[in-house]
Amino acid sequence: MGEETPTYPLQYERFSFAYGQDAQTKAVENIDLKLPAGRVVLITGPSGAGKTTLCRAGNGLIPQEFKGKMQGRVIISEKYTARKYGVSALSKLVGVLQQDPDTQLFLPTIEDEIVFGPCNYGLPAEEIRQRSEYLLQLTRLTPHRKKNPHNLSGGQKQVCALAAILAFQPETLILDEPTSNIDPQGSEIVLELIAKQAREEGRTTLLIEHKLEEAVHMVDEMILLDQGKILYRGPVREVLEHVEYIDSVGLNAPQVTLLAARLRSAGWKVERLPLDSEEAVEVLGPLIDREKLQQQPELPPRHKSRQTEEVVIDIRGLKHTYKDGTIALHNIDLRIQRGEFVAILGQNGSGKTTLVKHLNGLLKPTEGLVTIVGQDTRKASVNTLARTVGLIFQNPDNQICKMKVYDEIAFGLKNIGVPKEQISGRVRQVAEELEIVHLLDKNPFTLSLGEKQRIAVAAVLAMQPDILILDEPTTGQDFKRAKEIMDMAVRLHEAGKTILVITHDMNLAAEYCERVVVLAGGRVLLDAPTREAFQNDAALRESSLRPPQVTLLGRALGYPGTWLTVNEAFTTLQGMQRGGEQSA
Amino acid sequence: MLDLAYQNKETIVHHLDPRVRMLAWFIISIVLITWNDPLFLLLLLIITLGYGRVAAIPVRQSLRLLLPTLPFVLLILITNVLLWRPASPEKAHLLFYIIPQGGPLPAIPFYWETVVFSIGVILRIMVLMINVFILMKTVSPSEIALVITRLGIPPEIGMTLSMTISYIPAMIDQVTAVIEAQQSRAWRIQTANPISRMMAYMPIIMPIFFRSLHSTEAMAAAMLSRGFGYNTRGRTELNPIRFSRLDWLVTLVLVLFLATSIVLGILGITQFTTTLRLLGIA
Repeated sequence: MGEETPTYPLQYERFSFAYGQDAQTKAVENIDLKLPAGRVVLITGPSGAGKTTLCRAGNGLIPQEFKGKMQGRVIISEKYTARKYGVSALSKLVGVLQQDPDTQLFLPTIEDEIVFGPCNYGLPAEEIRQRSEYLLQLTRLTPHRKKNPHNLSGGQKQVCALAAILAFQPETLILDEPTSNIDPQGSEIVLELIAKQAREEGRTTLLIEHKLEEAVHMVDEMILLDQGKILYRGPVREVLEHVEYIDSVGLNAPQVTLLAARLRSAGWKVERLPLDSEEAVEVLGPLIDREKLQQQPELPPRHKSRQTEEVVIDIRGLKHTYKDGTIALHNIDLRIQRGEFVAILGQNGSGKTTLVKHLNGLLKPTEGLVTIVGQDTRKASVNTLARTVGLIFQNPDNQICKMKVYDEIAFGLKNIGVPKEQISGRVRQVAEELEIVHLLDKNPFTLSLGEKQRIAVAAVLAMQPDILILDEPTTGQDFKRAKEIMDMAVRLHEAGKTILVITHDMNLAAEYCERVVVLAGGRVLLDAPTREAFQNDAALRESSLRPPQVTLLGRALGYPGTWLTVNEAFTTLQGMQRGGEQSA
Repeated sequence: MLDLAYQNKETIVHHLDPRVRMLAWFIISIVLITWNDPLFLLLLLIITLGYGRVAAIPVRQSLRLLLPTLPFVLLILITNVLLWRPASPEKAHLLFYIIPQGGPLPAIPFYWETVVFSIGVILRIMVLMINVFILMKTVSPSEIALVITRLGIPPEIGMTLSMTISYIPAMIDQVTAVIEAQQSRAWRIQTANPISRMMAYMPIIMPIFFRSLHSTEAMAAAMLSRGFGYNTRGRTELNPIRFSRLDWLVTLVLVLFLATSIVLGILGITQFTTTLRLLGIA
């Protein structure tokens, strides 16, 4: 008869936690958070905000597996706490999906993964069979059911890990940055599945995500976490009112929302902040003097001033076939001149990584020719090429091998036989450039991921290569760190280096690069200056890459040029307000 | 690359209870240890290859598996020749001296017995390898875990074993990534000295070690988050294993085979002297 009292499957009560013995720096502090049943809530915040800590506390991993000092409590299904119940018991009620799919898959086949949870909980065999068949179909993994999960693509792996949790139908689902290690296509599959699940099964969901453009559409509520505290909480649109602040703490806010907010601050009468480019057309369209906009000249291309005619990377008819017979690259022709800043774009499996491994001789062409500053890579060893080409890999944990940062940076210098008396000077010089002098005596294994990344870059830079290649600098990173790395690349570029960035992040390529090479299926689909490239819809669609929101907006508004960043769009639009002169 | 992964084929062998498949492996291994006569071992090799053939593993594939072990086999052969001596050298049949008597070096005689015994040793290694190969191809890691749990061994051990096997492809990727990252920093092995070679591999070993440490922690968390250890006894078994008539029959054959081979062993018939006698040497 009366109103139903809402239930809260997950509640944090004055929850604080500090890792280890160090009770001074709290990962999260005094969090009060009640998750109403059936609600989908997004938590976002820069790295170090305490997002993962909240996830781990959700099923008792904190304080049972990760030790530290905890205050307050976390109540699950309104009666259970981690003081009395173990992680495996609480997980039946709160399923937690972690960031890295590789560490969540540990069984021989996909089928085994999916039934593992429900079998542990002793659910009836018939029910498990039905549920796993349903999930296999839902995730489109049925044809791969007998495969080893590690042989799947990144997106498929994460979907499999998610299905393995959904299999035992936990009341609440916590997802800790489920898309940060996978490409856009994979992310789309994962987020789609999460949204579908939340809708169809009414599951209470806590989604931690920093790809806001995709996530804002699927959640009911949004929380902004910073430095262990809740800054804003409310419906998505309400929280996004603070978009300029969100942008300033280094989060990847939806571009059109940010643009509209900036126009509003500049005096435009924006009635509401749009969430995507279609809505932006609707909201901003009537405010813009379209005729004037259509007469705007195209923005100048990114400067090419430093370029000389010298071709430093010369690839002719490159074909690469792996030992198992798969052809990874077909007939690639590509020439890159000294001082260029190029993005190599493409989905996972498009051949990007295979291509760059040819540039320092890690792979040799099956057919064709790769010449790096005059050296034929078939004849030169990786060792020699390492002096010319610096390849910086995504995960610094793959290369850090010394107990002191100084030795780590000196490693490559010793390998290429730099005289002892010069080593110390070169290490210090590069440490100063990257602002890590204070770390030189520290043990790299104990540092944060961001610091490790800078050390990995320093270790390559110390060898003074002419050409610098960044392999997926943004994967597994949040926007702020990705920007830090890219800003560093810009400085190196200004100092005369040739820069290649391998990425599937379109906004990043749009913001930083002069030229874009799009790969798909081992072929060069598109090779053009950035502005031109982002107008080529057909090629982008074929490679399943989506241009930045502002680019789409500009086109929809009838702007003849191409906007690549929010700043560009803002600058162009400033004088374009319809009747702007009168109201001013 | 050798493919050691489990192969799900519809053969009689695959339809057997996983315990019977593991028993077959176990009994062949026991027999292998008790016999050392090359003729009998040759027979065992043929039986093992035949068993593999029934399980849809071509004989050629099994034999190709032996190629990488060649250096190892040679090493054993040389050690054998240098160090192995017949029980009673005075009665043994000398062929010649590798290092003659009376010289500055210790004499190394070469007997007929050495020839026959060494052939036996090589056959043994062959059967051993092929036997393991067939086990890996016919029993899936999860079945191994299942059987181990059934034997009353804590499920954690079975789980660890099964995880280790299924983690191999991921591990290979990880090692490759580390090697490539270090090669890109001009790392290479330049020395022939075995000790400094070991040291030169430290830049590869360290990152792998620390990454494994880190991923073990994350994996343990992931397993707990999916209810591992919630109620070990009340775990649902989706495909409960049950002995069929065929399973009993095969078990009987295997046990009989084991019994016969032990009797033959006690009688000394499967000793390498049998072949010697047949050759008319002993």
